[in-house]
Amino acid sequence: MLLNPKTPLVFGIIATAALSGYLFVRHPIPDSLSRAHAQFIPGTDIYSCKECHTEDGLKAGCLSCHTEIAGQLDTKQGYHAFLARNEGFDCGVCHPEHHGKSFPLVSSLSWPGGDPNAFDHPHCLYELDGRHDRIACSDCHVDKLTQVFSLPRFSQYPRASTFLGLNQDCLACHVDVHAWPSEKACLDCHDQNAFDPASAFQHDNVFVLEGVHADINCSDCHPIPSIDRMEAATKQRTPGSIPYHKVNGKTCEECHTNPHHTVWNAGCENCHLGRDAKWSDGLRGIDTKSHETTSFSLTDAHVTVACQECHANDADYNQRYPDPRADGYQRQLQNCQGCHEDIHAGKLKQTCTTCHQISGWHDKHLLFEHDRDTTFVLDAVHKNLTCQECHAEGDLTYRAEGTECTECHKEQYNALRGRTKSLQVDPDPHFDRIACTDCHDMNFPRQSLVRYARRCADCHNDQYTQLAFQWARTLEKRRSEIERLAGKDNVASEQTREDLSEAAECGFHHLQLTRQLYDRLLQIVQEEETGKRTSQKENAVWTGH
Amino acid sequence: MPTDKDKQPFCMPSAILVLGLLAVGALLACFIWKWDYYMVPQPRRPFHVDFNILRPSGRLGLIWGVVGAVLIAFNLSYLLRRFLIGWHWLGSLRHWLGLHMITGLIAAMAAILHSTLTVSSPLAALAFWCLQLTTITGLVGMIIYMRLSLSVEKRQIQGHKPSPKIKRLLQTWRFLHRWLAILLLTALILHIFVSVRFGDLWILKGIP
Repeated sequence: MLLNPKTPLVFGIIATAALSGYLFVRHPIPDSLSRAHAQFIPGTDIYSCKECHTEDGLKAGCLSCHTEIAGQLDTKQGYHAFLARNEGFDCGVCHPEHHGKSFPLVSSLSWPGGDPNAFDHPHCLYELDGRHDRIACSDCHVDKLTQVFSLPRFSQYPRASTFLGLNQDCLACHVDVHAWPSEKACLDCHDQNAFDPASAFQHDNVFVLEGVHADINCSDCHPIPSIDRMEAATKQRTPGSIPYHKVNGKTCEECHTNPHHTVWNAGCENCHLGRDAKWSDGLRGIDTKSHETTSFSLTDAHVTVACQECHANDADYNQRYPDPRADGYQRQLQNCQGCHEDIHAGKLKQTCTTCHQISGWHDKHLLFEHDRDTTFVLDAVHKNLTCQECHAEGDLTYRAEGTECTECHKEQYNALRGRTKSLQVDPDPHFDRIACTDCHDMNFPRQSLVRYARRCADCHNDQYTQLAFQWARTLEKRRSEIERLAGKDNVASEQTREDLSEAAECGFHHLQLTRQLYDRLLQIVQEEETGKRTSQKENAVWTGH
Repeated sequence: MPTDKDKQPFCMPSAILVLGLLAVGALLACFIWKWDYYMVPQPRRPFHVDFNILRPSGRLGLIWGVVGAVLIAFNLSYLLRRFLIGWHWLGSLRHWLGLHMITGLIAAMAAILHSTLTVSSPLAALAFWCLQLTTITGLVGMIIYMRLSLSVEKRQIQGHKPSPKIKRLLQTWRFLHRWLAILLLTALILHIFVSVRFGDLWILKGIP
């Protein structure tokens, strides 16, 4: 009966087998896929199963689509690569499927222990500690820090978020508020408890703060960053602290403007030390050797001069240390007037160093040679004269009357011309006919009468030698007479003495005039003598003598 | 030939009844013991602490499935005993019928525990519901047979024959029960095949 084709049971069996077969082929899955997978594998037939359950296993099926995971496994990076080191690694352990469309593929089942917040990131190169251990997953695993990807086969379905792709470098999450390529690892200064303060940071390890550097404001070296950087930095620092921004550098020049006009051979630290309270303390490093770096070497007398003599303390820097390259700079070693006042008032044509040397101005230091440095050679006659005999005392321009004989010896010259203050006669016969040196031998400071007489004979004849002696005796005789009369009773008036001196100066330069001067003086002296005696007699009469 | 006991009105053997009730009670106790899990909505069950044990492919859930399948296979052996009607050394048909009923009931309960009250796969659902319906029809059949046994006893006393109405009722029940049983067997075989063939990964490796 059971096998009777006419029995409805047979048709029931056939229908049952057909239904079972249909379900087996078309709907064999235990439960629907999650929404993410169901959109790619809409079918529920047995062939759809093979999309994931491949001949090589489930993992191969997963990785055929999840190339981002396959990439991690290939490069041995990321948490999946860490898990793959364990034998039996399978995708379904952490991402179970067939639990309905609403079932999340990334859930608490995806983490060891079932608590995502307790996930200790065993694959990380560093242990999550401190604040990293307390913050929420989403604080790090956010879109802005990781590149949201699309699977190549399903590019029309970009991922909204992912835990993948977060770099373990600090700067992958944190903004580099330092704003310059760090030479150190972040953890050399910061720990994971707080960004600010940087617990391991010691400023002295980077730049020793001493001296004036210990007292200045942080912002003096760390300039205020840009607004964008400031905002980013503000989020990661405690209120009131400064954004540790880039300093220009550690060398002096990188922060400080070099005020020196001199290109020193040595570095700043050769003179200026970090512990210095002020820049001028760096003067310790200035000595004669270092000063040679400037265009002005300190030698001789300049060594003993105090610095402020040339570099006045009360002047600003540029005035104290003017730029040699600037226009009008005069502090050259060869230009004494750049520092020293020219007491010669610029009247001397020679340079300072012609006469002076750095070792000193006067005395033994003086290089002045009259014969070399002036247009007037001091002969034997003039050599023994004092300076003041030609140059007015106190006149540092050392101006003389001239270099010609007649420019200084004017009385003698006037005598030749027949001119005195009191008498005017015809010029001497020699006037404008012979030179001074025809009579005066400049090799003899005090020329004897004999030599003068010989000069007369040189032009005239030998008789003039005797004549010269006679004239000399005559003039001397008259002079003596006058002096005798004038000095005997002390009657010589001031005028008489001047005239006597004038006559002496006139001398041989104009014999006729000289004789007249003496004659007149003798007459005056004699008259004064006579008048004196008469007066004395009259006084005696009147007084009863 | 039916033995004298077979001609007696049907009555569940006491030992089988006691063992069956103990088994049913144990299964019911398990069901109550893990009540919190079975009440969790299906999408949230993977997060339950007992999921790996009680899920169909879990350590205990899979045992329920295996127990159910074995009991179903044993249950169907009653048909073989009926076919081998002369093999009295296998035991009386009365006992076999009692085992058939008890194993069917236990298998249905084991299937409930195995399914965790959730059948999402169409094939598994087909097997599950066929089992449940077959069990229900079996229970209905047991009631019919028990009543029919009493009427047979009366007929033997009063000399009456079964009425055509009862015959039609028996034919209808037999058709329905057999049809469901066949459907159950087919679906169960495919369910086992699919589970072993495609679900070996989870079953053998314990992956949810």
